[in-house]
Amino acid sequence: MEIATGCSTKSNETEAAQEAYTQLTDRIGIPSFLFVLSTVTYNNEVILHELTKLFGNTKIIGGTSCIGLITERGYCSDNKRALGLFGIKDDSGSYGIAALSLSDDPKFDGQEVIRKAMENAKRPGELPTMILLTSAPGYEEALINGIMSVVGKQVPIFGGTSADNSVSGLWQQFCGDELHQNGIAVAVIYTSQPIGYAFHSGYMPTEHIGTITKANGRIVNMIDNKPAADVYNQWAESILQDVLGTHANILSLSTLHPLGREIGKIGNIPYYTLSHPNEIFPDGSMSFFSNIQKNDKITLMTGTKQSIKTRIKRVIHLAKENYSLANDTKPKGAFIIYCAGCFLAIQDEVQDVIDSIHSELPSEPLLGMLSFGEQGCLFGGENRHGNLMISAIIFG
Amino acid sequence: MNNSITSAEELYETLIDLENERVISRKINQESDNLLKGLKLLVERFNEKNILVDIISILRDIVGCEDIIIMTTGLNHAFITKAATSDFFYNIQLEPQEFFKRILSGDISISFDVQSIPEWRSLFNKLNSQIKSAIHIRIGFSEKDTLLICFDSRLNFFNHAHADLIKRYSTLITQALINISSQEKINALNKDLLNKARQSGMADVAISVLHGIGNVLNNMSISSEILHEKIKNISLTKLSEFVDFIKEKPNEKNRYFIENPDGNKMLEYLSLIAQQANAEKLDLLEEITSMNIHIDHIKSVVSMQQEISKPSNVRTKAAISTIIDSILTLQNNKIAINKITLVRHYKDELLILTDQYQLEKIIRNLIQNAVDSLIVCNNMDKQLIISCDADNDENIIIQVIDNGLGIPPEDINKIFNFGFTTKNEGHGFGLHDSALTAKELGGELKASSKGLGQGAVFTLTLNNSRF
Repeated sequence: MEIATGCSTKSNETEAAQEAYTQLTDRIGIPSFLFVLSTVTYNNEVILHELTKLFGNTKIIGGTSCIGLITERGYCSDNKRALGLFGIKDDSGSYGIAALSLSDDPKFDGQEVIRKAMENAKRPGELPTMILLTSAPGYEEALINGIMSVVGKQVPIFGGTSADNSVSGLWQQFCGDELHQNGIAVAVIYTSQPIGYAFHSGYMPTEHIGTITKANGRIVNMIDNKPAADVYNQWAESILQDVLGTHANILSLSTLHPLGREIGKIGNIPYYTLSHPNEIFPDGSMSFFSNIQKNDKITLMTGTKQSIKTRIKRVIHLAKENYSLANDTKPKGAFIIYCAGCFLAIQDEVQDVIDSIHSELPSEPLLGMLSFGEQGCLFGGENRHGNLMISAIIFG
Repeated sequence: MNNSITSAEELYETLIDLENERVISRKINQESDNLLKGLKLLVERFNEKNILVDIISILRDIVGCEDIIIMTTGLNHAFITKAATSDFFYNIQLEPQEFFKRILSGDISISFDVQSIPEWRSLFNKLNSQIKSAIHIRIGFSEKDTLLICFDSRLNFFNHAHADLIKRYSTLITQALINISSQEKINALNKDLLNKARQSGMADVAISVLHGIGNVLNNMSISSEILHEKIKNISLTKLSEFVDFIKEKPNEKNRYFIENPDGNKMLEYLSLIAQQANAEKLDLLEEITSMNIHIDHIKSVVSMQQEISKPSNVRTKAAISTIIDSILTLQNNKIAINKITLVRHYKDELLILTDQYQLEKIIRNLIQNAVDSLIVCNNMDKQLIISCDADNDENIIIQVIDNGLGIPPEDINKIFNFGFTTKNEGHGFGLHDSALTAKELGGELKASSKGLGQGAVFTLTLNNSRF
């Protein structure tokens, strides 16, 4: 297996595609599979048209990343514009892709799209090594459940919710030369070599624990029978004080204080998926970027800018350790999904993030997506959607 | 406050890391234990027929699935079950298609819908309730294409962790297959060896019988020669000479036979008896000649059988004296008739580890040549000396020494050449063949002579250090 990346910030779509294509193919030639990351500042129809022309029969999926992306070369962005390619050349593996626009039954959509992808891979009935996806925000949990209802719970699912530069609904998903606004693009990957992976939040639980007493989808009304915003504000040392009782976007305020739901334990240490508070409403409700249900036990999590910068090193390290359990060879490359919200909080210190990545992957090709939600496989093998989290997949 | 939070955060992260390491370590230990279990079984039950079934039974318990089978290619390249944890899976035959070929190229497949696999489709009605999930993996056994297949009747049972575990365990199965294959080869070789030994024993008996017959035929030959001579020189045939003499030279003493009618009749009668005796002598000589032809024919048949019945390249322990004595027995009559003095210088206890029949062939050839040389030479005191001894370097040295015709100096270097002979009816193969055979036995044959009429010494040296 060989891996290479390409990136460009050229303003012209054709030139950007050409530049990224050349960087990648100079290393490995035409890949078997390609993941495309682009920002919404590009005309991605043109980008896709150019790429499908250049790469021919390569299986392509991708989506939009928030303001930029990361490769082994560093942070790639120029005026919130970037194009990144992650190519895998693996003649002994198989790759299948599929995409569709989301309906009002996202679980069914998940079932449909995974079946199509497996047919495309010509591996009907066989478990892939992993599933890589990107979708529009809103229904990630249902999509994952739909996928798992077909392939079971044993296949690691990774992905990043496609993002735009301002939470405006401009996000996109790609499959071949198809472009979706409100869709899902999936790749089933049957690698010839085992992979390693990790999905981690990096936030620490506090002593503040409560129970959701009223909720609806991604909106939480009551915690412990009190207005959710009030409880959250009290737990988080009044960071919402200035906006309580109003309708306000609190993404940047709440980045260091998400809510966590315990999923399992490593030994005696609990691990969580996180939900990032998005908005508050005058009635004290709060919306989140992931589902929280009534009766869920939630914990206020806490983090720092320092921990946001350094935890990517931990996640990659964990992924490498898992990789080394099944492999004697050095990693060939990595795919990283990094929460855009966290990234925006430390944007001025992005080089520290790059340095953290390089401390674990000094020269291996990698592509990092800045996403509006992260999907991954937790310590206990649970496939989950979460916020403010990091996924890392190591290929060998 | 920031410092304490950072410290607490780091502590939390470190705890997570430690716990993760512990979980991984436990997983590794568990896998090591499982592998050790299989390895222990492999070592303990190296030669046992059912070791393969036992190993896959352990693996089945470790993985937690319902069945495991091993399939290899049969005579017609279809896959057949070699070992299975349930009898249900025996007597299955599958034609390899794209899926099996892909697995054989090194891919591992985890299937949650076995019906999708073309190879199993034809059997699906039979196996429907037995298998829904499967893992297919190639076993790295070089002698045959081999697959390990795990089955379960539960949907979506297998995962990548199972595949990793099975892959690690497959090396034990490879080793078990190698062990079984080696044992089968050892058994086949043993059987072959026993057969050869049996044949060798039978050959020994046959050779012994043929040798005995050969001895008897030789004696018959000699006796028939003597008989031929005696009959040729029978006194009764001189009667016709007597009758002729009476008729041609009558005198006072024999006038009775000429002048007396009764005497005349007696003479005629004697003449008739003489003619009859002559005729009978000729008849007898003819019969003896015919008998000799038949004896020679039997001898050549026996000789041919002796050639093909002797085993080759089988080294056995033999007493040299026995070999030499048996050869001399065949030459005894010739030696006696030609008044050759035989001198033996060897001990009964001198043993050699060699191909007995090849050695016999060489010594027979040397003694035969020596006897033939002595027969034709004019020497009055013909001597044949056979000696055998061991030197300090553990070599056995056998010498055949005669004082017969000898070898001229210009021929001494050609004596072992193919086709070289000094005999009228010789073909020049004997000494050449003997020299080559000596080399094959790890030894050397040399000749020396002081010249024509001075006899010859043939020395056969064989290394006996492995004895």
